Amino acid sequence: MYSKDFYFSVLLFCAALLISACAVNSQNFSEKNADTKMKKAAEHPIEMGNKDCSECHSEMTPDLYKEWEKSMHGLAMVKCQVCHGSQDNFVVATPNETCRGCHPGEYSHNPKPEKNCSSCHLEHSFVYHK
Amino acid sequence: MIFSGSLVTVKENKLENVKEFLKGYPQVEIYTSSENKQNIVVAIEAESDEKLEELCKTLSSNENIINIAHHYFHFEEEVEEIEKGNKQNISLKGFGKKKKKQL
Amino acid sequence: MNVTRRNFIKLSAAAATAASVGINFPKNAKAREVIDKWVKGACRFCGTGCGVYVGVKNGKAVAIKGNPDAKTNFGFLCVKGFLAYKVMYHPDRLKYPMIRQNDGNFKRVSWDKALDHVADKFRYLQNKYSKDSVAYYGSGQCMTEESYTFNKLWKGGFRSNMVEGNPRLCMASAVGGYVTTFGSDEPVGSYADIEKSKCIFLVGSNTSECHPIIFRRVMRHKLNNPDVKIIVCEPRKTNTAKIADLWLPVDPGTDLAVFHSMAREIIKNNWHNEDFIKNNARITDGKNTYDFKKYADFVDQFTPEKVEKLTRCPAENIKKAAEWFANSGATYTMWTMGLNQRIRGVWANNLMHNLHLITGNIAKPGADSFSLTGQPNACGGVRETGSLCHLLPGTKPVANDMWRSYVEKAWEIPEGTIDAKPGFHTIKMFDNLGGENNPDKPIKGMLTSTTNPAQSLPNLNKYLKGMEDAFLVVLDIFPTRTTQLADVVLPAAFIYEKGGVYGCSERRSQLTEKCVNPPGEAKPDIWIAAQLAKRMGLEKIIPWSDDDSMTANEKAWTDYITVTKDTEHTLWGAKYDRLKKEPAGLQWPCPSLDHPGTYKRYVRGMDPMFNHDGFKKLFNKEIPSDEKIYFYMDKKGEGKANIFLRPYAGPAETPSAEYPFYLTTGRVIEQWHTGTMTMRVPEIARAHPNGYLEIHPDDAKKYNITSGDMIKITSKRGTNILPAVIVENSMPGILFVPWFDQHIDRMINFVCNDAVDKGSKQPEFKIAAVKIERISGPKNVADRYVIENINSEFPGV
Repeated sequence: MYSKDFYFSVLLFCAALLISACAVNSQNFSEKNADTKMKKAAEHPIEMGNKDCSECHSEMTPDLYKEWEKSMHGLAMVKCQVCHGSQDNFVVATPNETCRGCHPGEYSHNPKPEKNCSSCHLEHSFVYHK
Repeated sequence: MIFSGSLVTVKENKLENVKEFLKGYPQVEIYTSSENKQNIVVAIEAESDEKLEELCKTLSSNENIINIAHHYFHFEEEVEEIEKGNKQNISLKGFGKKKKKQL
Repeated sequence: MNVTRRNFIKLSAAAATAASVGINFPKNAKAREVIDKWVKGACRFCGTGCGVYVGVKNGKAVAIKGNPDAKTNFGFLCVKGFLAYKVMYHPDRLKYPMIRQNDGNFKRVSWDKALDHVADKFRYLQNKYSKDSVAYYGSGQCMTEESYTFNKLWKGGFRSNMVEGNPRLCMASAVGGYVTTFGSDEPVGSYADIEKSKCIFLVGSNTSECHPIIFRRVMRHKLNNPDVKIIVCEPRKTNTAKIADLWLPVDPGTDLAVFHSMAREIIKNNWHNEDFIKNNARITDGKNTYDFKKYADFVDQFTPEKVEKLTRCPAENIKKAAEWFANSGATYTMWTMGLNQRIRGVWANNLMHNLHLITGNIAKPGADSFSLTGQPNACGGVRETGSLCHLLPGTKPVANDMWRSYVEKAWEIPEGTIDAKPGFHTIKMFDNLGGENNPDKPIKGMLTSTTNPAQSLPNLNKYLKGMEDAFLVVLDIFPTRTTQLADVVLPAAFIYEKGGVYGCSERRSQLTEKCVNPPGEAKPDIWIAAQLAKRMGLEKIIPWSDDDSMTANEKAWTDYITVTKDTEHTLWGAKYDRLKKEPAGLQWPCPSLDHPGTYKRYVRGMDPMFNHDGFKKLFNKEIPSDEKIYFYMDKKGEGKANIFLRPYAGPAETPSAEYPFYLTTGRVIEQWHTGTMTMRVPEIARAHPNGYLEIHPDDAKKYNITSGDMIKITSKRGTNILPAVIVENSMPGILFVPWFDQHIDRMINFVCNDAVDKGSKQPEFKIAAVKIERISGPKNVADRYVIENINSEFPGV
């Protein structure tokens, strides 16, 4: 009946429509669920200024901070920004490549490379927990 | 073969439940979840768009899943098959309906 | 469709989905390995000598990871090394040669023009004034090949010994200590002794922040072996003391008394090792030899009670420290600037060695008297190549006729070329640096590389004008305080852009291969040196002007290890090809290609010099075949080390009525030296965006100071204005300021003392007498201040 090309174009066109429709749908949904502040992927909730992370976090998240201080990272002075970055490159979930910097052996022999290191080495004590 | 990148929205505090549930479906691969624990990012593999719809319907029957939204499709193989002439009676079912929804 | 492609498609789908709704997607290692190649090298910072791999993608360095096979760090890195590569692509990088014009601004010129200008000016000055009118001031951060090249050019080419380097400011006293006690520079043992030790003594070192990866090893050792005793002796109770069993607080500059007192306790309680002393050491004051009784009598006056009054170190602590030190079975001491940056730095080093010699805690596993080097290549690049005013390669004096003649032959230059008279040490060099119109300043020109004397010299006010007036050529990667005073700026390549060898504290040389190209027209030092040599008719002296830095490096390295192959520092077995393959570098002495390198010196069976015929013949050494431990560099030829009778001496300046506080200075983990690199890395700058003044709560109360208040700190020499940080780290009466801040108000070296050790000529950065004044409430000074504009002026100069 119609040419192969026609079907192909229709398929593509409709698929595109479908995708954009779904995107709009889910965006609406996400917006409802994620409050009105639509964050960019990985952004520190407030302006950091020139402050050291510990200046706020020792008071804002004291339990977390104490946990870090007592951990091997705390003793070795691996501070917040080493794993979480600064204002422009802030990440909440530290990617495994960051851990690789000081733990290259573990990174290359990781039994669960598809998982984030912190899923077993719990932040911020870094104790291994299955 | 169609691949989708999809977002599974779940009821409050039901993230782990849903993850366990999804593990029973080998066509669904879980990648990550949002910080607020309400969305799971998955990739779904299905033989066709009908099969994909069917699967999503089945999954949605789980009371803890609020919604499954598709964000990304990869249908390279489908196009190849059509061009080779292997696919007959390509159904346009469902497209019209969605188009109306859009309007 | 194959499995990998399927996985990749699914991963892309999921990643795109996550990104579209702002969910952080943890990168999957397998699917997203984006590095083209990992290149082996060493870390850019500190004397620990961590091994690294630099990840290169599309010709750019995009990642760094530790080298798990490295024997220094075992794969671990501190925050500085971890983020070093970010410095390479900073927009402030100097990319083009520049000559300062009459209007004060720099003008970009071609390399030919710049090099011609420098060569012509140097030749003019040398002809008009003297061969010693142009100096070289290098750095413990230059590659070994570079330092060796400039040293050869100056001493063998210009016939001038006006060659110095910033290790004079950090390690000279340690060198003096090793040479006077053992006859030869650098430690007997290695870091490997840490894990074998039973007691670790950290003195004059904030190891947790200045050698973090060494600290990590100590920390791990203690955690795995809780019985190991850790003693920290420091005016400040730093993060290092978190793992200490005992803290010996001590007023700055008074620790010689503490060491004498420990020796007294050890002898009084009969904890010393008489046999070891008899067989391997002598008692001396530098001139005469004495019996052990003389030493025992001498230290007897240093009772812990008396010393407590002098130093504020509790007598009980001294006694305990002495007991643990002597009886542990294997005691390992580490120190850095706390002992070195002192007018009695050499003596402080001697007294540390004394404690090890009298207890036999040396030349055996787990025991050593180990000086931690501050810079990554002070050992390898400056000390071992002899790039100081009084030395030649192999760390032997220019004044030594035999060695001078040997080097002349090796360099194929006429006998008598090298000047027998040492040049000026650093402080003297800068004191004699000035303009042509100043007859009191005989040094009219200087080439300086990879260091920032306009911020790092003590008592800055005294030396700035000289640098400004002289013909100053600066090689660097960023604008600094020193480029503000320069006449010519030459853009330098960073370590990973040129490659080369770094030799760290434990005598280990590690090769970094070139990873990427330098930006713009930046060039390696070695190329610059060779080009200058060519233009000044000295191409024969420096026959390695290859454009490829690794080729030139290899030639220079081969030249160097040939000259030193029969010395106790021999690296003859460390040919370039081998260094490329060795996963952990090589520790000298390493006399042959099949030698694994030396963990412990002076012990038969471990130290190859015992059987090195070339060495024994050249230096007329006879080593008795029945001696297990033999200090073969002993000047007296008896194989003994020297236990020194050094009198007590305090610092050059002590608190007075007018200047009632001690000021001590130091570093923080994130910032390196003058912050020119580290302050440009956002994660690091955030941790310490500005310098500050640490003050004890009692002192703060007296002066009505609350946290953040702006304080003016003044010494006889200069002043700073810094925000106060109130902490109980130090004893009352002691202030601390870190020295990384470039801001004109917070460069603490304006305040520091340039009095030098008579033996080593190293200045006393660690101690000054100061007064303070609260001038205002808190101000926001979290500037992360860096000098960005090459044309900016040095205020007040």
